[in-house]
Amino acid sequence: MIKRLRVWWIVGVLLTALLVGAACTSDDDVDDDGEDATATSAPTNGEAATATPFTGTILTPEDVLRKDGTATKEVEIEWGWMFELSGPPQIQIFATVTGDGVLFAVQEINDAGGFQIGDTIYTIKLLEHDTESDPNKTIGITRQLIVDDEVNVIWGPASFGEAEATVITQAEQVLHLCACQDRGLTSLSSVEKAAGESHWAFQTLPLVSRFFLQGALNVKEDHPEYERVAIICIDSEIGRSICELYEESYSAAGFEIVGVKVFPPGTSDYTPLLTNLKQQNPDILLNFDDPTAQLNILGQALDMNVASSYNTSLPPDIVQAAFGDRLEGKEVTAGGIPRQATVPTSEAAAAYFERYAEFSGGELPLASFVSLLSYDFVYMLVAAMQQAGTVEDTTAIADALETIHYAGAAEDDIYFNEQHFSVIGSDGCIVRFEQPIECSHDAPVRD
Amino acid sequence: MSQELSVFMQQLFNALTISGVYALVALGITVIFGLTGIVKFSIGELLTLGAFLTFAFWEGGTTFFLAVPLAAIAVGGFSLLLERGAFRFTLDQPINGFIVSLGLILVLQNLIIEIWGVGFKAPIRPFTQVWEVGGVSMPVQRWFVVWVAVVIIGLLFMVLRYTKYGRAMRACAEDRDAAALMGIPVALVIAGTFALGGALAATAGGLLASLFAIQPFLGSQYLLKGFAVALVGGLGNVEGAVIAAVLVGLTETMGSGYLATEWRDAYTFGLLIAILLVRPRGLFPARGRLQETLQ
Repeated sequence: MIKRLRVWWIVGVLLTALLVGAACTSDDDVDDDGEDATATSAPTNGEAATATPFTGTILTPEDVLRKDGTATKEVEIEWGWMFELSGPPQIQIFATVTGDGVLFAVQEINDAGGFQIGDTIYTIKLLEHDTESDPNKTIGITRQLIVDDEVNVIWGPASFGEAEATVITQAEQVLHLCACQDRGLTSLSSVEKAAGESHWAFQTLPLVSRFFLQGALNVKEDHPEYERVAIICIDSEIGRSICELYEESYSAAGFEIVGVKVFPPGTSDYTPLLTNLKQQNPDILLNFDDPTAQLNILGQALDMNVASSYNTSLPPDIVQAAFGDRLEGKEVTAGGIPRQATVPTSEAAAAYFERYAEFSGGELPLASFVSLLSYDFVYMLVAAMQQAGTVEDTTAIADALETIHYAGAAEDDIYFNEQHFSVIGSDGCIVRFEQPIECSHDAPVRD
Repeated sequence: MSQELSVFMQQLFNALTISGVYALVALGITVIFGLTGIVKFSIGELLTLGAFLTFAFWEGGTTFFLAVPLAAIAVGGFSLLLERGAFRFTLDQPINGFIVSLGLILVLQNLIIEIWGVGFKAPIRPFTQVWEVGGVSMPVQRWFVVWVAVVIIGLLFMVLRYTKYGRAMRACAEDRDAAALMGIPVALVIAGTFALGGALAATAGGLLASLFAIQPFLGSQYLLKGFAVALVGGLGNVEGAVIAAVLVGLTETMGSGYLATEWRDAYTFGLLIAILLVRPRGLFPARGRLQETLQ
């Protein structure tokens, strides 16, 4: 359990590392043709086999910002905002962009004149703090926000110290929303339904197992003829967890796992283990690791013709540019990747990134998709306050947040499951020789 | 060809490629140690520097085939400067040279990150064809690496055996003082050897840049393997390093091909331990002054 819940964040960090790597790789590192060939297919909104679309009311940003003209008062409310704006670079990048999502949403809401509850228009002021990636500092900031500033909503942190902060916020019945990969270890770990001590904690990060399962279901839907899967993972706690998740997800989707190979950190030459796996005649070769390893594994596997299809988390344009004509007759997929991590796969997402670029001074920051781990949820929280008719009664707001479905930038139906984990779909992309990259949106695997 | 045989041949080919790279790194370590007694751990970073310089030259429009020798010359020159600026002051105290070498790892690593960033660079791949023979997939690029390694090793042997510089180098390795008395410019020979060691490592790095994605921490992986190879072969022994490179490449590849893959490094270092238990100075111990250093 511990390993599982830590995986997504590490996956995210790896993805950030990948994006950092990609950004640090100049245009000449990869053939420009790759970028030119990148194209987004029309969003398919393909539904996974187990999806059961919600049939109730799905709120929109317009619903949240609507005012009826009867308001007579204006009040500014304060929310806590604490993220790792300094510290280890990869954590900092992720935290900054996650925090950005909150800042951006709050600015939009305030620019729209705030939100209305009854006869009052509320605007939001964020009390911003840098946790410096230090759990002790995070604890101090949490106490300061609750005791001194008397906030009843706290956003963040993204990673370090969130478990410790959650213990405090839940004891004080403060609404606490964050990506929070450790939340499953603490307040949300032992409950079927988030209640009692954990009622005010919400994790905006979807469960990693969902991503893997979505990817597997999507592959099965696209390629029913594929049956045999081989998996390669790094020999580390995280790597082995990813292997387990792959095995479980692809088995659940109806595939046969014909080989699992683990390699030691620092490996460059994967040909011995690829030779071994090739003997098993896999249809699909799966790997999710740091970008350098993935690039090496994919290149060597393509040379050795190990499988018919290769699954990677490398950005599709990098794959296309790095391997060029070596992709002829082959297919590389990136399935079950975080929503909008590569290219926007919905009109709402495309519009969001345009606005977000403007908010960021003209250019999108690195790993900009991570901002979607918070942006939509700000609107959802406001919607919950409107539904509860209060900005103060945190229990009533949490109750409302449990029931709300929201059409946001990341997903057209976002909600929290009973354990207060967000439910968001994933994206899947296919790279083929001399063809535009196709990306589509896989609907989430619903409860 | 039966499947078992083709798999075996495939693994043999896999081993051959990686052995070539290990041999070049080990030779860089062993020629410097053989002459000076200094364990130059920073050779791993010179390999990384060679890989990134090859990439930079190629990125600048130079062909890969020219980029590798250019990088080798540049790193060889840099290694020469390091010898003149630092290592020559440690020749009487090789342990100090070892410490300088450790410090250089950090300096060079940060320098590389400063210039090229922490990200990876995709392989250059001048050859993209793959030969399929009897079920064995042999990328042409890998053949190229093998042959370049063989040619360089052959040239090195010839230089050491038949040229005036090679004889001077061997004489210095046997006994520096006696070599000096015979009129050999010992300081110059040592400086040249540092340049040669650096150039060998850079060549290995350049070749690696055509096989694998490279990143600034690449060197440490190959340093350990190169050092293991040099130890197995007998530190300071050039022929021993080449034979040991093949042995280590085979052990690693066959081990991870037929047994548990996660134990790959354990096979290499298990072999190293086993050999050192039986032959504490490696399979082919060096002679002369070097032997004294090791005693």
